[in-house]
Amino acid sequence: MKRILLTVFFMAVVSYTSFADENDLSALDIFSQDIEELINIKVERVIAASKTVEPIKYASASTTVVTSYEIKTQGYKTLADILKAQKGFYITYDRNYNYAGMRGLYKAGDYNSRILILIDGHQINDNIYDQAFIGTDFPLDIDLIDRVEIVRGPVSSLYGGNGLFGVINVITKNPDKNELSFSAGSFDTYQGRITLQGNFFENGYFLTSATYYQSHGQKLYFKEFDVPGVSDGRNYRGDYDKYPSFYFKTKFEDFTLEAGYISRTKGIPTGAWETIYNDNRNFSIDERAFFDLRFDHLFQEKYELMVRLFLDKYTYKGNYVYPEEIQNEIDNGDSVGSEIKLTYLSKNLRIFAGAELRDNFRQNININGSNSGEIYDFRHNSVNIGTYGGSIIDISKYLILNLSLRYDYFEFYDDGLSGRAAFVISPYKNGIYKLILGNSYRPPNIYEMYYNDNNQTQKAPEGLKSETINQAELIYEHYINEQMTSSLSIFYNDINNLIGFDIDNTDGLIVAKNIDDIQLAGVEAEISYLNVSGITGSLSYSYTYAYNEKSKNEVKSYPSHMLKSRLAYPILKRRITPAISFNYLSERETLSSKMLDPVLIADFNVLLSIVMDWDVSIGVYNLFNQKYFDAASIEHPMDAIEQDGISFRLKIGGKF
Amino acid sequence: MSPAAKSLPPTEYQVKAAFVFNFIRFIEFGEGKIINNEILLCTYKSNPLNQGLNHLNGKSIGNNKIIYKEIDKNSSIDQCSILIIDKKDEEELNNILKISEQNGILTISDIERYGEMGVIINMFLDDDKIKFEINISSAKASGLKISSRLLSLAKKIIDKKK
Repeated sequence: MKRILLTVFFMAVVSYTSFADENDLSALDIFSQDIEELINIKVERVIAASKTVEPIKYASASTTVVTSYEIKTQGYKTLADILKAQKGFYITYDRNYNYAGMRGLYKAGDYNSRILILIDGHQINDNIYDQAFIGTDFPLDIDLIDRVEIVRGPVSSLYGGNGLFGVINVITKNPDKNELSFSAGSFDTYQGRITLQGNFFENGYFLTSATYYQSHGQKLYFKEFDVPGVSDGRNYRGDYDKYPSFYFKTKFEDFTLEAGYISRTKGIPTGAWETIYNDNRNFSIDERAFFDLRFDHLFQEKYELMVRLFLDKYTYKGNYVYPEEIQNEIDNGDSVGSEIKLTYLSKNLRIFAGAELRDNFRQNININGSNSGEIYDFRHNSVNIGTYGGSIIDISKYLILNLSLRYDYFEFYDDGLSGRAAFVISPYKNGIYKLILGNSYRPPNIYEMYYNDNNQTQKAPEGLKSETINQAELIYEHYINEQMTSSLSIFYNDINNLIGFDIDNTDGLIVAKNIDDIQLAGVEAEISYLNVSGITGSLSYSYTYAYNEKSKNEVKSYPSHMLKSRLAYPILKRRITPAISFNYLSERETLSSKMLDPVLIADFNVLLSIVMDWDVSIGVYNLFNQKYFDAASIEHPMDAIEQDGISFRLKIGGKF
Repeated sequence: MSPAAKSLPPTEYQVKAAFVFNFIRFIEFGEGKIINNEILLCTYKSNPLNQGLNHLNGKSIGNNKIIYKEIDKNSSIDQCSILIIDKKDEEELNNILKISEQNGILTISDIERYGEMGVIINMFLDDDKIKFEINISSAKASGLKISSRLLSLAKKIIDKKK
């Protein structure tokens, strides 16, 4: 590894000296191009959400857009890395899944069911656990992301039951050349990707991409298992992680077809669910496939019609090794559905209405033991239908009103109704106030409602209710100058019937309950900078306070103070772009009420553009080698799980 | 173009500025609009496009040289050869367009529906590429001649007055 790094630095120096005498050949040389060429240049949309007037006006929420440029310069490896750097997000890892805490609330082990993840508008959360896959289990290679749009706050009134805390929409790229990338990193981690694309007829475009990832994983030590005569606490083989993933997209005229697939295998190295520690036959496989066919058409420049057909498949396979037998879990969550949406656009008014139908034709959980045979066999299917509508009204040049309402019918659960009103007030040129009032809900998912392993370790609950959230938020955004923007947000959430897993003291079994009623208030402030030469930076601070009315305690599982900053600074005519980020988390509580120490993590990445269309990226993660822990969920025997120290990644990518 | 520069896609501002440069090349201004071989490119302060446009200052087109000038709301625009228009309220936009038409100024914007509203060339994003529309009626009224090469590349030709 060290030798490779040295070579790259040497190459960088050579490329610098050999180009040093050239005239200033910046990207501004596009002025010498003919207009016929310009028409086909793809532009970096660094300003999509934060700059053009229309999106700001209508983005009636706390919204962040992360561009492919930031992903590349900061050396993010997964969607979890992207989210970790954003205000209002607290990301943890239990060496199986990444979990996202958002805006003051972190529930270890909730499978991110309160956050909705979309790829080009297609829901990625499955229909058993409502799980939002954000780590190596996210179905799309991060290099295929054009931008990530993060909307904070309840969004059930647009998306239904999963958008309790927010929505993350990942927009895919349409590269105009074939691409290849390869990376190697610490813990014997390798990743390769090939992306092929092309045009057909006049308006046709296709892209197909394949990725393979493999990691031996960290050499772990848990003191909880360091029991003389039983185990030395070490687990050197159990943290493996691997997946193939595929993605296909084609566009023709008004039609877009997208399909994605991933099958990730992750070793479970923590002895979760009382399995035998240090047995590398403990693993989980998350297999996710989706297919989405969309039709978009604008009629008479006034009516926008969107019709969508989709198919989703989720298979979970778990292998758990116990002293007496090996248990296998196979869950199948499959659904088919359709959505239709009509939007009317006029100068001062947009009205939209839509309906969505989803037939969850398989929501099955099956567990078998090698000796005990079938332990649990749950078969379920359900239908839900959602209808929604809303409008964006330009009342005057000072005030825009954004309203939305959604009603959902669930076959086996109480109906859901949610609404949202946002007032966007721009009293003077560079400042915008946004006042948002809204509510969201989340019905319990199949896992929470029905799961039990035949009352071995976990049982099914009775009378579980939907979670609800009422939110009020005030945002002020100020555009300091062309390059610099600032924002301040204050929010208050009233959260009721929050579902969590607890141990029933009468029988010692894990069970889902409406555990918490939480009052939560927070403030977020951010300054971000972006200029034409590619310098990007941001500094954000967030503070949250949450109080649990049921237990009469302050909720401390989420770090109440977070300070995040990042900077990418291209030098030498953009040939070298160093980037650094800092992420400070204040103390946070584990399930057994211990406080984890505050931590400051720094990551460094340098992007080198060496030859035409090819670049090299060198990343150093946890630069100061800080030792820190994330709070673990209930299935793990340890309270907190140690995170990686310093690690490296070398990545080479280019176009051909 | 240097290899390094090419590896990073140009920003939207840069490409839009390059488009503006090309528009100027393919437009014949009315008599007396270009004085002392200087093409006066006016743009309102705080238009984010200025980050790209300011690089046009001093560039030559034939015998003429582009002079970049940032103006504010109260500035007189009569002398401008080209006026880049950012988001305005309707009344202000109509005023600006009226004065521009009387003075034979080439108006350019990158705001949704501004082509329909009477701006001569309006740019927009389409699938991450920049396209433009031309309001031919406004161009005629302003006494500007647009080359057929430019017209053939426009995504849309608008042939009506507002």
